[in-house]
Amino acid sequence: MAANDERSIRLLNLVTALQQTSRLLTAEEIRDRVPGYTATEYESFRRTFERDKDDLRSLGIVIEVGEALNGDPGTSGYRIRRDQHELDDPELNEAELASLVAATQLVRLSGADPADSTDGMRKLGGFGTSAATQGGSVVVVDVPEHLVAVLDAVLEQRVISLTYRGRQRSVEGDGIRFQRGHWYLLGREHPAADDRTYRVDRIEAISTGEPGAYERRVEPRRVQMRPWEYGDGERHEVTVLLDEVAAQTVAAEDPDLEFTLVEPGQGTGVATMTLSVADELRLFRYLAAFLDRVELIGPADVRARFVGWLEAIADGETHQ
Amino acid sequence: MATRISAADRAERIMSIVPWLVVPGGVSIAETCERFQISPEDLRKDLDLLFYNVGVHPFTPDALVDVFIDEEEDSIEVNLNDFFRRPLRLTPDEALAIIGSARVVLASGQGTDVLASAVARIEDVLSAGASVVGVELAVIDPTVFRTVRGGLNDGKVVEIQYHSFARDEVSTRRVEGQRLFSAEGRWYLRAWCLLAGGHRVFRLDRILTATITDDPVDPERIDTAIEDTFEFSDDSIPVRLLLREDDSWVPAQYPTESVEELPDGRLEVLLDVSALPWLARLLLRVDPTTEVFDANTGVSLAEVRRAAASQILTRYT
Repeated sequence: MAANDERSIRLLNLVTALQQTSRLLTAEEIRDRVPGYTATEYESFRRTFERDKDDLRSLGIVIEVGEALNGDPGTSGYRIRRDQHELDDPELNEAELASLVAATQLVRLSGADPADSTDGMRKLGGFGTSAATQGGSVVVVDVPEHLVAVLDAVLEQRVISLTYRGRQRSVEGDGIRFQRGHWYLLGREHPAADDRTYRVDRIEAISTGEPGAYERRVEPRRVQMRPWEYGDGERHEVTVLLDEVAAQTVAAEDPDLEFTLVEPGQGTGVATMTLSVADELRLFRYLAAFLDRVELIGPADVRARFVGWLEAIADGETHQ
Repeated sequence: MATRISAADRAERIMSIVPWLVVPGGVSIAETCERFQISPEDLRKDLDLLFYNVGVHPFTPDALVDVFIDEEEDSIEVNLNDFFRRPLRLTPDEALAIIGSARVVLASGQGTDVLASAVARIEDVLSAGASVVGVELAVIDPTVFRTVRGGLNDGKVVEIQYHSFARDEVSTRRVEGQRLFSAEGRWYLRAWCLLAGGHRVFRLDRILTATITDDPVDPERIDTAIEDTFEFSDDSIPVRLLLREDDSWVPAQYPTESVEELPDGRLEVLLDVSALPWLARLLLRVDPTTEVFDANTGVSLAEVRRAAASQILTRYT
């Protein structure tokens, strides 16, 4: 029998041995019970056993380690608890399985291993390959380096320690969200408990703590992309008139913003929106990016400050 | 052909598939292979490996996995003796691949109620029902999406009103659609543009209106080797920017040729700009003291910023 077959058999027998025991087994006991180990010398058994444990962990199997009752005091014992690695059956019917297969075929997660979806679908009950995706439109989504580790931490409720823009932070994650072409981690900064959003592709390094360390919040929010709302300034409402192109751009990027349609023939816009502004400079920069497709209507003092800001630029003034 | 995989991946495959084979009366070999996307040869080898090799001490027949394969009757019977009775949990990579893809498809408007219920069931067991993976693609007008896709499927020319963001112009164009795809959270149409006389990529959220015509597309122009990549036109302008530290979001957001930190803390960025209105809007969003040059000639382009501000001011006088 090929060496690789023997390794697979040994791994499967290691799983059954560790699973079918009510107490922690010592390494010696495991060596006696798993045929693949019996013929080897103790030192080489230990090396093989360590590597096999790593392999099982990489498959998501949790090996419980503690003091074995059967050995000398302090001897490590091992066991696998089925409830820690067996899939709770979501009881998907054939149509549901097939719709998931079709979804994995329509989406290209670039940066991820394409085998992940086949492997995962086998665990859930399979259901072949889909013909339903013919004529569908492919969606390409980038998967940044730390996304899987972030999702794992969120699912297991492990506190995430991350380096972000050169700073060290601890985060209790509530969810991940793909918005405007990027993946974000939504959570609370630990221990201050403030809401925070981190772009996953900007996370420089990550490590995670123990599972079940906090209570995940049920409904993670959208990522807010309104720079004018951030800041310590007092908030005031500003009304903006938009032409058709600008209105379509805003609606596509921020579907939560509400528009009021303008009666036809009433000036050069099709709709107005009212923004809650804490940072005027950021609002000015945002509006200027639409060139003359938008107009700041009021209040009058904000409009005057916007005009002053534009005039300074038009005159080529530089203010440091 | 048997697939070559590592011993651990092989063990994973066996532990994933085998629990589903324990059915009174057995299961069909052909259907199993189709269902789990595995070749008959691999399945046979996996089952042979289990048979009489896997079990618990003392490995008497009642403590082993029992497999019976009847190829003539196209049937497999497996008795697991309580080992591997449930598949392994999804690893985080697998959870992302499946839930992520499903959420993307639902966000793209191509999903079904069946798919939505499948994701909800997985989330029930994985995250106590919490929806931890959210996906939002740029919102597009469903009529535009249907019209563009209709033209694509029926091989008809589609007339679009398109807002070119780089030039800040709205133009009416007749296009022969070739491929609809989504990347970086947005939908794109790759098409032969009859106005430009070349292949172009259009963002669907910038199509203001779309009308299907009776004119068939020219089959000669269908490009067989289409890649989902972006092409930039050749007439782009190389620009050198001296950005203040606060504006480091620029190189993070846009493709650049090079980024270098200067001794005074500013960032020297080289990037290609497809049209001047695009550059004007970028300059209005960064610090007004930002210096900007044509990278080829070294001539200052600060006038672009002044002109843009004057253009906006015409609305306020």
